[in-house]
Amino acid sequence: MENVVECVNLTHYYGKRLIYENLNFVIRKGSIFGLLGKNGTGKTTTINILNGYLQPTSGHCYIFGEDSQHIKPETKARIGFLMEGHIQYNFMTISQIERFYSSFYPKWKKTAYYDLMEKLEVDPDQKIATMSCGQRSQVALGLILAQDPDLMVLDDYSMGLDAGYRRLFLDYLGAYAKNNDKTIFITSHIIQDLENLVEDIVILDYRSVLLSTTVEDFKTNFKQFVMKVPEGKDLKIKKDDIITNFELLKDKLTVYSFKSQQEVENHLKALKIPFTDLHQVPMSLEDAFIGLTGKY
Amino acid sequence: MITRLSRIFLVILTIFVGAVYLPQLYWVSFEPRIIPPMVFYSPVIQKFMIGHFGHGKYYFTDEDGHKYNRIQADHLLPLLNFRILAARDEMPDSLLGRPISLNEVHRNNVSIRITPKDVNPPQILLYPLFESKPQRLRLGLPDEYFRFTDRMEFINAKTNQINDSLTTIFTQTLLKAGFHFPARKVFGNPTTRKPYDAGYFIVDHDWQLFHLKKIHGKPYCKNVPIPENVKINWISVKEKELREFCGIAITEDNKLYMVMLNPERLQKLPVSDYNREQDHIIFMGNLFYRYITIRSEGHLTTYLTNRDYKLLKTYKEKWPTRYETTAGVLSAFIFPFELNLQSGKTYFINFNFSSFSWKALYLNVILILAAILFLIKRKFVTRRWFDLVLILLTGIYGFIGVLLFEQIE
Amino acid sequence: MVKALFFKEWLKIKWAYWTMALLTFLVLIKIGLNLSYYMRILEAKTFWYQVIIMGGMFFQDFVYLPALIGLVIGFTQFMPEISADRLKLTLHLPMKENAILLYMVGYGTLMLLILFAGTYLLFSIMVAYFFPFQVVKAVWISMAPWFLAGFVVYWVTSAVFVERIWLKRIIIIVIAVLFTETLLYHYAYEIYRYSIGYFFILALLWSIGILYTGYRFKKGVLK
Repeated sequence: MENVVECVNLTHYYGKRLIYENLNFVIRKGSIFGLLGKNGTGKTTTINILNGYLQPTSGHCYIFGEDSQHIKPETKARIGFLMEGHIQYNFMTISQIERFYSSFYPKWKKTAYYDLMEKLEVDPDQKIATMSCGQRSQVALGLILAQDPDLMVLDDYSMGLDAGYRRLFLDYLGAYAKNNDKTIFITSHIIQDLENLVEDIVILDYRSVLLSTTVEDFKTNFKQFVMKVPEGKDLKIKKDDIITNFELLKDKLTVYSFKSQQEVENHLKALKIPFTDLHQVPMSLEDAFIGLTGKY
Repeated sequence: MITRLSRIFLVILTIFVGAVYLPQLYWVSFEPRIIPPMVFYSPVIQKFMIGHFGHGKYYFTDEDGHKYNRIQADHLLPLLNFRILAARDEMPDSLLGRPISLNEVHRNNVSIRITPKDVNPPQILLYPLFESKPQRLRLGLPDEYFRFTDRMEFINAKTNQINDSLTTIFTQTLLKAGFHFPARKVFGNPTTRKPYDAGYFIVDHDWQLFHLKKIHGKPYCKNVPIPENVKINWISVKEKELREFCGIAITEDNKLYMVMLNPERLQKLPVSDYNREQDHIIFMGNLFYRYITIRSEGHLTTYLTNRDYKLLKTYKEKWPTRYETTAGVLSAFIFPFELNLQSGKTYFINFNFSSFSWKALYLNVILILAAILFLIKRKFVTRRWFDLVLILLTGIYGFIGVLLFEQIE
Repeated sequence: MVKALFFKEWLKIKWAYWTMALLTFLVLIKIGLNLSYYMRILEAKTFWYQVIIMGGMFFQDFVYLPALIGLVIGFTQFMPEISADRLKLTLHLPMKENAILLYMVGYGTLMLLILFAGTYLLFSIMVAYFFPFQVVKAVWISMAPWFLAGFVVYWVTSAVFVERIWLKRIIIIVIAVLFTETLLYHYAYEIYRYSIGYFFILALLWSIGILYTGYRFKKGVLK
């Protein structure tokens, strides 16, 4: 299967501050790819590099086989780009912005845009600047849908949206992805919505890449074990190959691991942790994400 | 490619701005005051007297180096200082065996100064033609201003319309005098603050010189005889009480002539080495002599003549220019060249480049080395030679430009 | 595509443009009123003397006006692009990045040209009403560098807005201010008569300055 995006050994520094080192991932044609991470882990940085707005310190990104630093205009027409915060030309009105973009994209689907606009109950002559955050997100989405791109790059689509708009956004996105052989690259720091959408994920942490896998594998392999421990006792527990992460709250110890329950139990015994009542608790994608990255 | 060009443009602009402002800043900070000496001639001791003024000093020396204080000099230059001497009742009755009166001295004292700025200044080619013999004696502005096209046109200021009758009369008179339109140049002294009005001097298409006045509303026009092959570049018209002459003419080849009156003619001045774009003319006349000083930067020559403009003596004087002061010598090591937009020698804004200073190459080479260190550090290694050549040629300006605007890969 | 791009630029500067046109018009009216006032009060021949012989510049209001207009148009055109990094959207349009930037600057330059040419025309008619052609010509030559400064300020504003690093912005602004100063002398008529051509060429060098800062924007340069 053909890869729409390939990032090879991507490393970036802002001045002396390392964002990440050797980030590698590919986005398969027709897949929905999620780049996840907390705020400030380099999601937008990656998007900027991908769109050619930032030269990485080292490494390369290829979009449709072209170096992302020099994307041809025809290739740019195949990429739909949603900016963080649904930024658009807010000095334009609903109809002006449609007219503006339509002349740039040969496959422009005017109805796709206006179908969505009808739901918003806004006047075609209303300026985008006067609209609510949720309405603006729909305008931005409508424009991308009308562009009918082969690859959608969505930078933190959920920012500033309430649950309703978030759901609406995802419904359209899901339908779009299903109906056509389209590729979607999405970044988010809110995970719960993506559970049934994304297929491949990369999880970023500060200064490093935590995980690169499919959602399926992640949810199957990453486990949460809860157990009881004596309260107030100094436990010699730390992160290692087996304990990916842990949390201790009074007498409740939670351990996250990619290993089996047996391996974890053996490891804890070896560490001389006096645990009782160890059992696995099922996780949502978000639980898993937090389990992996920590709460803060 | 074009992006790289935009960076080069910014560097060039930085070099331009640097070459204009950095030397300016330097001179504002370090320029010493230079006051050129003044040269006079003493009829009493028959010697040039050189006045050294400024820097808290005020004294004269004669051409042999004898020093005089101000009081002593007053007596040696009685024609110049007649008011002071008369007030002290020390004015001699006669000089060089000739009785003199204060009135006579006063009337015969003439001075005309022409700076390079006065020659060919920016001007609008419209001129008021004064009535030379006003009924109420005082000179007054006319209602019409004239200009030259293929005729001499008078335009009424109030209506902005051409006055046909004046235009016809004056054009006819000029044609009758042999004038060939259009005019090349028009020279006059359009002010009411002068003792009388000498009208205008006009160079026609064939380089002939004409004198034009308005007397009792009627044109007065004379074809002024000029020596052969003389092409007049500029005439500084200055009406003086002494109606012997009314100005100084400068030719295309930088010769000087007095514009004599009654009748109008050109009198050659025995002056050489004058350059109208650089030099000052200080013309001084008194009862006995004329002396003309041509002053350049750092040196002057004074030509003493009798009243018939026969050369009697010359005197040369030198003084250090600003480039010979410490600050000036140092500046040659810092700036490979300077760019003056306002030269002080003309009102026009021009790109006056000073000549290239080879001494600045030392600094330029040091700056090249510094730039190499700097550029290596910043890992911009491609096409560096262009920047380095730029620094070699433009020194500190190019260095700043190259450093401020980093290369594009 | 270019038409659509121009449409976007027009939407941004629309208000500022009309405001500046109105301001220019008011300045023209003010100078016109002044002219007729002096022609009455001073007497025509005396006022002519002031203007023609003494070099009195009755149009000094125009010294800084084009620069102000250039600044305002540049500001209104590029401020919306740079707030919230909207320029990323613009550069994402399916055209070459440099072409997009040049079309944007080209559009503003064109609009300034129209406004300035209109001003020149109206003012020439006004001056020609009171003075002979010789004065009109002197006015043309005298004002040319000031209007050139208007373009320079506009081009610099566009480049400075696209630049993201404040230090670099300040550097460009300082050089541009010093450069513009060399265009704004106004102590006598026609003083740029012999040098305006060179200044014109130098000023043009600013016109693609935006490509340099645009390149830096694209690279995400940090210093």
